Parts: sequence; C-alpha cells; structure tokens
Amino acid sequence: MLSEAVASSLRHLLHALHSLNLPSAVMGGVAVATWNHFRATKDVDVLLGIGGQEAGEIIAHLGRFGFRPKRDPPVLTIEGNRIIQLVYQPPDAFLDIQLDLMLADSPFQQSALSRRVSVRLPAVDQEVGVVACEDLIILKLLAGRMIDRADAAALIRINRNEIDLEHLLEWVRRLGLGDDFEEIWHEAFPGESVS
Amino acid sequence: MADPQIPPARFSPLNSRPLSLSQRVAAWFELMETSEQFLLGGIRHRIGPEGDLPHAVRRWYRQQMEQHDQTMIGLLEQLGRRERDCRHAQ
Repeated sequence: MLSEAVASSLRHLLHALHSLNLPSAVMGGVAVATWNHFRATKDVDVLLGIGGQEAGEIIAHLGRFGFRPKRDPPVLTIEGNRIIQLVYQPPDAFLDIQLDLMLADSPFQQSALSRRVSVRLPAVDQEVGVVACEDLIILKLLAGRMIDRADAAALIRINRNEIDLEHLLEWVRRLGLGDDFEEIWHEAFPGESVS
Repeated sequence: MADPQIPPARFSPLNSRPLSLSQRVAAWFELMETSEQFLLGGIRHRIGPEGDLPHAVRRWYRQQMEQHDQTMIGLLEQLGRRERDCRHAQ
C-alpha cells in the first residue's frame, strides 16, 4: 500500500521529468539504501537542477501529470534555497504521497547534483540519479535530527572504503560542520581520529 | 565526546553479503513492505477492528509529513546560513 504508492509516485515523477531533460538525484530512503544502509521512508525527496527555467513552468508541466502543489504559493524559499512541495495520488492508492523537489540553487546542491550516480531501480524499473554517499552524509548532518546523525554515522562506517573522504571533509569545512562530523566519526569509529 | 543520542556503532545493521546497487534498492523495497505491515498492524490495533483504516493512515501520514516539512525547512535554513557564512569568510 504505502511502499507501492511511494515507488509508484517516484516512478511517475521520473517519467514526468524525463521529457524536461533536467538533472535530478534522489535523496531520501532510496539514496540511503543505495549506500547500503536501510530504513523505511514515506515520501519522495529529489534534488533537481532547473537551470534557467522558471519553477512555475516545471510546476505547470508536472501538473499535467497529476502532481499538485502542496501549498500556495507552491515554491517555498528558505535562506535563498527553493523547494517545491507536491502531492500525488497514485491510481489505486487512498492517500496523497508527498514529493519534495529541492532546487539545486546553492553551490553545495549544484556540486551534489553533478556528482550523482546512476542506479537502476527495480522498484521503478529505470535508471535513476542518486546523490553520492559523501553528499548524502552532508545532507544528513544538515538535517541534524537524531535519526539523521545515526544514518550519517552508519553511512560512514559501512562505506568507509569507498568514500571520497577528501571531498567530504572539504564540504564539512566549507559548511562549518566540523564538530558535527567529528561526533559522528567517533560514533562510527570509536577511538580513531578523523583521517 | 560521543553523542549519547546516537546508537553505538555496534547496534548499526551490517550487511552480511555484498549487494549490487540495484540489489540494495530491492532490499530497501522489501524492508518498506515489511515495515508497512507492522505500521498497519499498529494502526489497526489503535483504532480497533471497526475503525476506518484508510482514514487513520491518512491522518498518520499527514502528521508524519508535518514533521518532515520541519526537517526540510531546517535543513535548508542550515544550508543557506552556512553557505552565506562561508561566502563572507572568503
């Protein structure tokens, strides 16, 4: 029911975005699973690069596929970063699934979008961009809830050998996340200094 | 100093076998389906056998998304402030 509705909404969103030819990367539970850590999710979170296009054009386009703005006005701007929150009710579902499109406005978001990896998702039966593990860890640190920090610690530990630590530490430094990072590092690797 | 709110690393699930990226997502979908059964069971228990399950699930979902919205707003606030501070520092 809910899991199929989430997968169906993601599948439909990717289909709707396809004709716009815009770069996108999934950020939520799918991204966490891609990097070998599993937890349930209830919505769809996507990082989207819209270049010079107007957000209104994107919303109008998605509207033709049944996606409706969650709020009015549909674009929320927070500290210069925009997010479009949509809802969509898949056929046979009895609830609206929420889809958050975070527009890649900032340097970090643009960097994360450019570093996305392509994954074939069985649940949606197509190639999908997913944020890289290092960028997902940064997003988790920014979100800052206990569960996000636990996810970040798990992601570092599980993917230690594959992570581009230099890239990760560069964004940790730029975003002033050093203390937060050090804490989750020590949780992941007790007794080891960050290296 | 360790954050007492983060579960110790030894409690974090580890995969016993290497999985491809696609297999990981397939495993995630399985987890989603399983955890959904627990969720529905819990909601049914709360509303009783005669309760309106779809209505209760919609209400639960709305509450979850309100919390999610706060997280997303907080994330974007943090990102915006920290990138601004970074620009000023350069």
